[in-house]
Amino acid sequence: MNALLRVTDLSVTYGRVRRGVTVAPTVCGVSFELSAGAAIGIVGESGSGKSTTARALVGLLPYGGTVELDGALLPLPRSREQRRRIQMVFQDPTSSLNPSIRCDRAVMQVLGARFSTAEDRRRRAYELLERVRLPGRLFGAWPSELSGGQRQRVAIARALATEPQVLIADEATSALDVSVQATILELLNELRASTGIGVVFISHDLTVVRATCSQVLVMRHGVVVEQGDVERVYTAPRDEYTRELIAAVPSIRVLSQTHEVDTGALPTPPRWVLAESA
Amino acid sequence: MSADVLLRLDGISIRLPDPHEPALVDGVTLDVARGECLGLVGESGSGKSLLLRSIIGLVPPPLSAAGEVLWSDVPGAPLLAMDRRAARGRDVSMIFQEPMRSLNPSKRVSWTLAEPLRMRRGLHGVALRERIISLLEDVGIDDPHRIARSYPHELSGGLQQRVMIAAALSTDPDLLLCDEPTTALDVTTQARIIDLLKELQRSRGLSLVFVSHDLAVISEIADRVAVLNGGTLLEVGTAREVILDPRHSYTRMLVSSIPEQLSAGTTTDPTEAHP
Amino acid sequence: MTTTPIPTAPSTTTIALRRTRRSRRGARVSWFGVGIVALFVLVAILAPLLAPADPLAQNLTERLAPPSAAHLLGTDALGRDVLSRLIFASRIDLPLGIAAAVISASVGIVLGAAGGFIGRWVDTLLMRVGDLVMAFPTYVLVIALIAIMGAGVPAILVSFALLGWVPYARLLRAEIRRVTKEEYISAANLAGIVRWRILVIHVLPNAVRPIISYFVIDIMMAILTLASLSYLGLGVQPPLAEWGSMVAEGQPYIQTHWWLTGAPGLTIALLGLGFLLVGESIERRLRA
Repeated sequence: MNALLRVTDLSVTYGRVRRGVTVAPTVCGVSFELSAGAAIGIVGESGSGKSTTARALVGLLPYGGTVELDGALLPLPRSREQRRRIQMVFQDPTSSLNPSIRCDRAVMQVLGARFSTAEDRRRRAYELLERVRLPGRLFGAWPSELSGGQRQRVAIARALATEPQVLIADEATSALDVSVQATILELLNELRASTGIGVVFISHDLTVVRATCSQVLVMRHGVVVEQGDVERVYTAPRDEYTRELIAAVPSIRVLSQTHEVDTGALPTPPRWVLAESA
Repeated sequence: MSADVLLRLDGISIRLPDPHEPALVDGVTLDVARGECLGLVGESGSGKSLLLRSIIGLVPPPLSAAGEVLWSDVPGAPLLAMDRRAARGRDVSMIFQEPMRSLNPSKRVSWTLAEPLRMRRGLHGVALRERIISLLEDVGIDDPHRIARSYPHELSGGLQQRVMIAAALSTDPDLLLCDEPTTALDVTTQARIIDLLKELQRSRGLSLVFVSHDLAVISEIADRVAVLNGGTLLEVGTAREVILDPRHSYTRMLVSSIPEQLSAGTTTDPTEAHP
Repeated sequence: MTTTPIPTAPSTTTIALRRTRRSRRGARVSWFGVGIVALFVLVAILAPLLAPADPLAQNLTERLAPPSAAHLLGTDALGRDVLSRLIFASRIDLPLGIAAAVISASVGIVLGAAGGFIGRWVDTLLMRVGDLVMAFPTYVLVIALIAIMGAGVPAILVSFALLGWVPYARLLRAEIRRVTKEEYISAANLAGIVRWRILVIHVLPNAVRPIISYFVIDIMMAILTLASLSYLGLGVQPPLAEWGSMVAEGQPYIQTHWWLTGAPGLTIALLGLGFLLVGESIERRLRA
């Protein structure tokens, strides 16, 4: 079966290589395959190397090992065209957009040579902004006028403008409110289904990965300690650390498990709900 | 209704100086019972952190707070107007999201813990040292002597948070205010801090007001939950009531948005459709 | 292992304060400051029309005359009308001040950009040279230059080029380094945008901002330096009217004819205030 993205033995070492000095790699031995339209998650705590892996995949960092896209090996350094095929959406909405460029122009600047006239470019930019469901009145707005969620939408539109085959979301929803995050996740799912784009989802939030991905890699200290089908890893983890990680994830399901002893000990005031107007 | 109420917020409103601007917190009335953990839930802009700060009078200018904060000194005592400034650090303590912000980076941990003890309890010398060590042990630190000698930047995020909790508990407060204390922590560290807080609640009868945007975290720690949106209180009830059986449409929307709820059978992998 | 802070959505207080600050602040700049500067520019342009007399015309019979209808600020030691000299001096101080600041800024921006973009040894070299320049007492260097080139305007402009660039270079270099780390630069890189385009279109516009307010205040500093040097006799040479040299000329008579020194001094102060207000309001606006 032909994977859209095949990563073999990816490793990243920070710092300049000096003679006679062996530096432990920051990331080592990451391998996985991603099919078109699928989503794979990379989870881990801080310092696990997941962001480093993301940046290496995209070519922003030098790496060892191989990255193949659509069967073809991606060399280092990447050519302009090759760079455009794997795009990334970053974590911080405040620095993901250039504050001195309007949103529509930010998308227009990135469009390919296919769109030769200014008219074409504008039309395509508007198409993409509509696709990510940005309100029309904000198309010409400055980034500072948008909320965090809206900025991430523009960042996604900009990433889509290069017509990439793989999109890497590096904690792309971590700084957003939960309801906004839900809509962005829904958007990513919809894009996968409609364009066949593959998504690599980096997150410290295991529940987000479970909600969107079919496969998961668990990283710790730069190595992959477990990987596989998301449901299998979450319900029957084999690695000690993975088990610890999953056990630590808070869940609202704990509420259906506790017995009512508590309410007996602490007589509580009655329930109250604000009346809603029709 | 005979809950032993420790703290009552009565019609708390927090506004900007401009009267035309909508209130940031609008007429919130809440009770906190002795020994319970009240969770304050809301998204950004809900005013939950501001509400928390108004309890100890930490609302930053130019904002102004109105409404009453009432306090019951001992079990059974009537609720009286609270002197928020005096209560700070004595009856009520607070822990924050980023421990590095509240720990003096140029002072060792022992100094940070010693200061309030020296001032409020008049402890010195050996008695002071012993109290510091016992405080660090109470928050689950295995090597209290080494930690006491350390500077904040030498400690991990989890340890810093424990130190901050120790500092907050040094004056034996009745109420601990928690402003998203686990948001910046790794998930495993977060779980341990939550366990620590629950244990402190149980063993000391400590009351907590826990602010968070994370419903899952709130589920793990709160007995009762209050939902805020745009400065308005929408719903209050036990954690189970509010989160598993939400009545207000906003609460329902919030609960349905959390990733746990999203994964309930909605993940689509297009390649599964075709072999 | 310390946790890296995960950026979260801004708090209610931040959102609210940002909104009110934006709506309350009508003006981007201090209009009062702009007004003062505009006034001076106008005076400089219209000098021949505004000045009642020829600034260089001497009238030895009317020396040191007190203010009167004919001479609103009196006459100086050579019988020249003080007001006219004051007005015409703006034609020297203002353009020279601006020119000097522009020269410093240009040199500084080029060197700062070189250091910020090229980095490594170029950057280190430039910063150390900058340290050297800053360590020297300014006026000693200027005087040395004047000793070589002779007193007058060319020497002053050269000294600004050689000495005034350091703050610009440092500011720009630091800003370039900060902006280059921002995520939208990585995004531009990933989009396949050529390196020089990234530098010019994405990095520079965002890096240049803090320099603007410094530039405005630097004009004021340049005018002050020019006036000081002229006061010492090292700058603009007589008989040209210049505020600083006017202060020096009026000094012997300060007890009886205080306005000979006071008028040009207050003029410098007023213009300086104008630039300062504008520069600081820009700075405050950028920081908000």
